[in-house]
Amino acid sequence: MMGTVRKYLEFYRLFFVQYWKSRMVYKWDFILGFSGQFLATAVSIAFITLLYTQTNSIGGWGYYEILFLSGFGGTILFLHHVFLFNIFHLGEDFIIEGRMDRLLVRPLSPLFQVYAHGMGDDDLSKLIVNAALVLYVAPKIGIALTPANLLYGAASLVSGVLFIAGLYLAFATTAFWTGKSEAAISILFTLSEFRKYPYSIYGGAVQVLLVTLIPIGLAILFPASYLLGKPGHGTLKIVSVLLGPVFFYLAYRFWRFGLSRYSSTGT
Amino acid sequence: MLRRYTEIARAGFRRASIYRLDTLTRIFDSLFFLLLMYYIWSAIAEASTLSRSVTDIIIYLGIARVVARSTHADVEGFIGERVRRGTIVNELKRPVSLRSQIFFDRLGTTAFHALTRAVPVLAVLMLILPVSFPGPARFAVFAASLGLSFLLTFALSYVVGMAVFWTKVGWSLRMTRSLLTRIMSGQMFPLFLLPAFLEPVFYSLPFHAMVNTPTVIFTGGVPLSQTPMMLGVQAAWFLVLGAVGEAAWRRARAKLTVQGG
Repeated sequence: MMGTVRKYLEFYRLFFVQYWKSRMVYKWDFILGFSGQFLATAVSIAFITLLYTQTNSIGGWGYYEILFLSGFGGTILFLHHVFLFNIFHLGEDFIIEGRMDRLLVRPLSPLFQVYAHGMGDDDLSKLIVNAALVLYVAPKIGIALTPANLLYGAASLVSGVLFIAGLYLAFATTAFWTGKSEAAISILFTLSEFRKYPYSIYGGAVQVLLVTLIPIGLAILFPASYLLGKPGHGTLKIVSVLLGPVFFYLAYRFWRFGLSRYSSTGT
Repeated sequence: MLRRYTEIARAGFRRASIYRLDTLTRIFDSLFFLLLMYYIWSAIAEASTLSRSVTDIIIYLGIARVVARSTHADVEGFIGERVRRGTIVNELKRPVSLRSQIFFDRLGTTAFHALTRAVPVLAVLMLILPVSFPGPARFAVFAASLGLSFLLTFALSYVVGMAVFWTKVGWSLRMTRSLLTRIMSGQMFPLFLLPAFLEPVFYSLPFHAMVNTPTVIFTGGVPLSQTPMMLGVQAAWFLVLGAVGEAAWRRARAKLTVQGG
């Protein structure tokens, strides 16, 4: 078991180094992408600030509470994007181009290889800014660093990333039938905006969506409201930080099923 | 001469029509954006007194979306793709200026996007909300303003696009420009709600003339008598950005390197 883990870590390191070498050939691409994504977070915070020129409460949440939610969800989402975003290209780069064949003949998990093939380094700046936002805002709204909060926070981070990973994996897997994953996943870009505002402001249909098919509620909204000490949804808040691994496992089974249907394009 | 231009525009139109699935996801994206805005502004209206109704706000944001989708111009992408592959020489060899080639290509693409991404959103908006469609005179002014918006957006994108000759990559520059446009133009936040101290900032930059101007003309947010002035502001910004773009092109041409030759 430990031997396998060590083998994978070593391979990841090799992929990682190789990736950055080729990435640094286009230095300007990286620098401009990095600062562009930084601006994206700034614009998102500016928008929230503009909203709060009109009110001091959205669904009972104050300005700093919404900023906390934004940073917390961003940390989870972009942790996923930095390390696991490559699944976005499954259809276009791996299945259609026939690169999947190469992954299948190697004695390594094909899913691991897809993930390790690239990094979402453009999102690195978003991850940094969002994590900084959490650290900046938390003391302002009195989130204490108690052992319970730390434990819950760590669990919600792991579970949240697994929820998002499962979600992206499930959407990408449809590419085994359609040959395309990018359009399906771009739907998730739109829907993930729902992560930034309290669960209670949404209508019934969206609320159901956010705890079932698109479990952003379980991944982000409930854990954040627990940490902020918001009332309601007691059981869901506890259970949600345990469900991430289960959701990812289900998505993984779906991926295995898709993979079993894969036939090479022959190129 | 004119036939050359219509040919280029037609090619741009046809190229955009290949991506059918994209059309669907963009419409979906616009409608979900409006739904999210509806939830947010309803929640705000519950807690505070707004100077305008939630319906007014959503109609504004919806029309702003339609305007933005119909005036979209991506010069950075056009140049970036060709500079990186080295095929920009093909455009430079032709007997039509690079600027005209990009302009008519983008015009064709944007016409396709207006038909497939903006009109459906307008239709849905009119079905579910009490949108008052402008009368003939107002509609004519709106159409003129929309045209100026496209010119203006193109001119700004062209200025930024010239930087690609130095950086060799376009997508991140385009993203930076469109992020600033989105927050400053009215696409995300209705400019009529701006607090007084922010108005000078937003209205002294060109972005408001790209989306807010046609939007308030369409929704009847301004009396017709004020519109010539607003079109004048659009035209003035177009001239300024156009001049900057021309100067930037002169410098870019002087240092142009073709990769992979």
